[in-house]
Amino acid sequence: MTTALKPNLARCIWTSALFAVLAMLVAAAVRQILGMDPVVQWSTLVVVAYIFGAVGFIVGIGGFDYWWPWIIGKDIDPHDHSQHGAYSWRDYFKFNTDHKVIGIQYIVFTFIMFLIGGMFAMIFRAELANPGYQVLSDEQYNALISQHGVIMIFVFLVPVFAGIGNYVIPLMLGAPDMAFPRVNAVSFWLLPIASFTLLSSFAFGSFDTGWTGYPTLSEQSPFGGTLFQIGVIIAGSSSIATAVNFLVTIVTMRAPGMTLFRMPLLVWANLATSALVVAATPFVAGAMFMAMFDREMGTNFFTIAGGGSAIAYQHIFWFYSHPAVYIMVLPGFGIISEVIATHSRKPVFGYRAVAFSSAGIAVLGFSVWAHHMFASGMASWLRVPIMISTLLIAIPTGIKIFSWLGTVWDGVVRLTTANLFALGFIIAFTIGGLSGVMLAVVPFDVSITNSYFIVAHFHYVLFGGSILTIFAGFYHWFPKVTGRMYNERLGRLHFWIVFIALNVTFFPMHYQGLMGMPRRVADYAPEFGWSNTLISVASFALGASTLIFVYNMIHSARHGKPAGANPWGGLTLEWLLSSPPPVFNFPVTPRVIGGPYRFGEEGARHAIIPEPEPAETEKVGA
Amino acid sequence: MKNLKVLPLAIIGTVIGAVISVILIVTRTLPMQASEQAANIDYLYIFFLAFSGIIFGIVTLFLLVGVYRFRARPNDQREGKNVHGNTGLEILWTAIPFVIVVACVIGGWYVLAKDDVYAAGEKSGQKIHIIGYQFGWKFDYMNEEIALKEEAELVVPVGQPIAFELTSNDVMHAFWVPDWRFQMSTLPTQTNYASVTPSKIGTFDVVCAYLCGVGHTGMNSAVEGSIIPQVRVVSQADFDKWVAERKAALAQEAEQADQTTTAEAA
Amino acid sequence: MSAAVEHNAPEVQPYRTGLNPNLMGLIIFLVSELALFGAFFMYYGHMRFIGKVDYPGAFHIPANETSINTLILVLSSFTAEFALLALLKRHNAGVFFSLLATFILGSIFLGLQVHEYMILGFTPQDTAVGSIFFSLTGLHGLHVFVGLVLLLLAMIRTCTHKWTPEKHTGLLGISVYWHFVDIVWVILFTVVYCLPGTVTAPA
Repeated sequence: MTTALKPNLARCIWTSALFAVLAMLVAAAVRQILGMDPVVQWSTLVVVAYIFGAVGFIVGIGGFDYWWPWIIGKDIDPHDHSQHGAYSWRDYFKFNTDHKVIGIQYIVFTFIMFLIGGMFAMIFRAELANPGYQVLSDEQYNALISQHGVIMIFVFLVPVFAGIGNYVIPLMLGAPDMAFPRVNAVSFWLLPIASFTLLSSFAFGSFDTGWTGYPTLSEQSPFGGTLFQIGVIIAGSSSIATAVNFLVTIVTMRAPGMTLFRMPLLVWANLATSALVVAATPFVAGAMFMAMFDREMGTNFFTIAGGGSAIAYQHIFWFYSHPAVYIMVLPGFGIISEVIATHSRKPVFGYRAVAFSSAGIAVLGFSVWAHHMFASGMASWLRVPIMISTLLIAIPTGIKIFSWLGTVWDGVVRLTTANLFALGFIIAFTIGGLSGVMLAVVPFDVSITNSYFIVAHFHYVLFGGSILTIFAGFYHWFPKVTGRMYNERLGRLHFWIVFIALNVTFFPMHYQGLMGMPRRVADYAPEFGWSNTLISVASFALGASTLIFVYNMIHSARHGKPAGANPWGGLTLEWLLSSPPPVFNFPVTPRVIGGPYRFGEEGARHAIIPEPEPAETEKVGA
Repeated sequence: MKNLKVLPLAIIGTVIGAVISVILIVTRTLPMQASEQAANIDYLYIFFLAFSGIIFGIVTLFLLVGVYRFRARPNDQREGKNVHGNTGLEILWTAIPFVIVVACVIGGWYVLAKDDVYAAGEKSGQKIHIIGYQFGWKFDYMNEEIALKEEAELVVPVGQPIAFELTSNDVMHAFWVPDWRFQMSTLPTQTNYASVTPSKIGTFDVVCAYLCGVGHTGMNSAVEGSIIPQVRVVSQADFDKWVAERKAALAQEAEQADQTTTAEAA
Repeated sequence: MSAAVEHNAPEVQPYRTGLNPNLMGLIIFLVSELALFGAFFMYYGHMRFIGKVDYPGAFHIPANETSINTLILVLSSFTAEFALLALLKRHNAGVFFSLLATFILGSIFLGLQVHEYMILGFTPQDTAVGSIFFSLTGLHGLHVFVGLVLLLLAMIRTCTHKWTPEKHTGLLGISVYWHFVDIVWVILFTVVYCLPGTVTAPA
């Protein structure tokens, strides 16, 4: 058979084209039958083409190959592992059901998106370096900030944690794979489609609404606005599928002996996050669907003429997008607990408190959405309850911060790069958390919302919070994934540049915001000139530091010194396996015999892998 | 007993934190307090800085001292102390944020209730309808029945509450006067209400805070080349004079318009 | 990738929870579906109950006719359950005809919905309330349609004798999905058609 018929990227090209063209023809035919005018309405047809092209892509990559026999009433083989595991680099470009391969696909792909989103930031920071217009026009500027936000949130921060979780969590649980390996692969392959959809909006006039896409501005933007909505819906479906997978995996696939309170904290964090994703993400999909119908089908959800309500969009949108902040940071908290405990050789201080605070943040996260709308003119009776619930989130967050400090205390702190990132995270996140407390208070929020103070706050939370934890996780599990050590010297250099540049970039923004500089502007009052120049220079340093990281990762993956199974002396299950782990993870089901962080206990172990029993020959050839 | 060992450090941390707070408070940069609400909001901000500095000081000091005192030596094979928690400490560091949260709620609620003088404004002060459009503001004085043209400046009297009703013709904007610590969005599909009491005579920048399209950047009177006028706060006497002038001008314009229509009709 | 096929994945003996992972996954997925409906219900509540916005023009929501339709859908939930009962008695024809009955009832429901759309007298483009009415019922209709496709697949597999009393997670899942569609309809019917203030009297 030719390669064009096997499930691979080549087949994707013609299947997605085929599906797109067929769907367009069907759509045109339907329009003809219903007597709509004009029959060839390009915007409608392109929407249909994108949606069914995405389905075609999944068909092409092989997402349904396994299910075809089931659909036509034949048997399927649950022990079919033909798509499992990577045996050459080509397997990383295929539909692969191995959670370790999918994890790497996720991480590499989303990191490329991080670089692209970062590039956009560099470009508009160049514009902002001096007052007046130098590099960009207003249209280009708005397009770039919108893309920066959407790319960073929907195809980097949310999925990269799914990637890290994908790689690590089945190993931590002692499971051979995720509960639904094929769903897992499909949800990864939805991401390139979502990214393509978002980035291709540049070709259709882009979207210029910011990542929030509020109507009625979103009704004015060119056709790219619709692609933004489709892209977010696709990325959202991907993260829902992954979250369902995580929940089922964590509940049903733990190794014997792993009770809830013997689960590593990353698992707890992912449990809470996945519950949030499942319950919250459909809301953003709903908001996007409504806004898209308004644009493409002439409905009147948010329009002025049809008596719609623009504030309703904001309610529905933030009902997802505030929990989304916790979706983007809770798994990071889990990573920090792993990294700090392992590298400080001390049990996590107050394990249960940390675990329950994740759950508490997840539950409270649903009651705080409207704090983004204090100045939007929402119902005024809602302000005080939302202020109280928002402030209450500071308590579980504080518990976590203090627990990590307690973990460092009396430990034996090894200042590896992973641990440096984790410790740096505590400082940066404390700043972000404190400005968050300020912004929760209604009168103060109303006086400076939508200013650079907000930009400073959420970059401290998402860069100083999430991204530092992501780097900590990358460095922590790099030896496990590649079997080699990274260059510690370069790693430390990377940390210090990131940490200093991060603070120089984002801290002055607080002052700019307080002094009255609004966000999302291409030009500003002359008094902000020098501080913006400083911020721009620091942001370029921040961008350049990523090159050090990329070089370190690529070079060390090939030439680093062999790491061995357990370079950090970790106790959780993934460190009991070789690095990189075998294709089917555990040769025998491991047994969990104690908590995950029993550092400092003589001869303590979290789990054991029993010796393989004498071979049973009956299974062969089944 | 471990608590006793960390107690001195906690005190030092608090002191260092207090110093940070004082530095933050002294070097705080805020726009002018040009409204009666501004002072209260600034007090809130000072209160935030006070506890933020202390918490930041404690966290950072414990982190740095912890990392230094318990650092691993090269080839250190020791393990940390097998401590899984301390209920007393955990209750303490749940209680401290709780107290801060309660303080924030009380402070925020108090300032909110005090500043929410919309009802008062409706009774005594000027009632002004702000209409946001792409890209500028239009002001209607509802008490005086003056509808200003687009791009005209907002003139308000000092010392009395002004009740704003905000709407928009097209997309969401946000009317922000940083010197007043006042911001409220204008939405096309509803009317928002907010009020402010200007306390200083002068001109102040008007900023559109919410992204409203290509002209958003220019919808900020502080940006060079912007056609958005600043807001002008004047004394009551000057305001009355201005109102009279506007009314006269409007009457004249109406007359002229009448004449034109008559001329056209003829 | 023939090398991979030869690999025998090790037997797994996970922590015993007594849960069926496939069913659990389905139920969690249905929770997120419910949240998707929740987004539309949130908008509906915002407009109709807080904003008190009325339906466009002069017309009536055909609550009585739709009650019959509701009855039909509720009935189909029972027939879906009969399929499982028949399977436990190893009565394959019973399974098939129960599924067929469910399929026919579902189709009637969908047909009546389309008929209702035609006689309503307003379109999705007529004001915000028109949009949300069509979106809510349309989203549900889409779920019914997906359910019908699944029932068709279940019938195919019944014909090829793929379900056994011991192993029929697929059939169980399809019936759970069908019950979900039914429950959502009952909620939707209550909120949109029955709650006081939702029905505008014919003008």
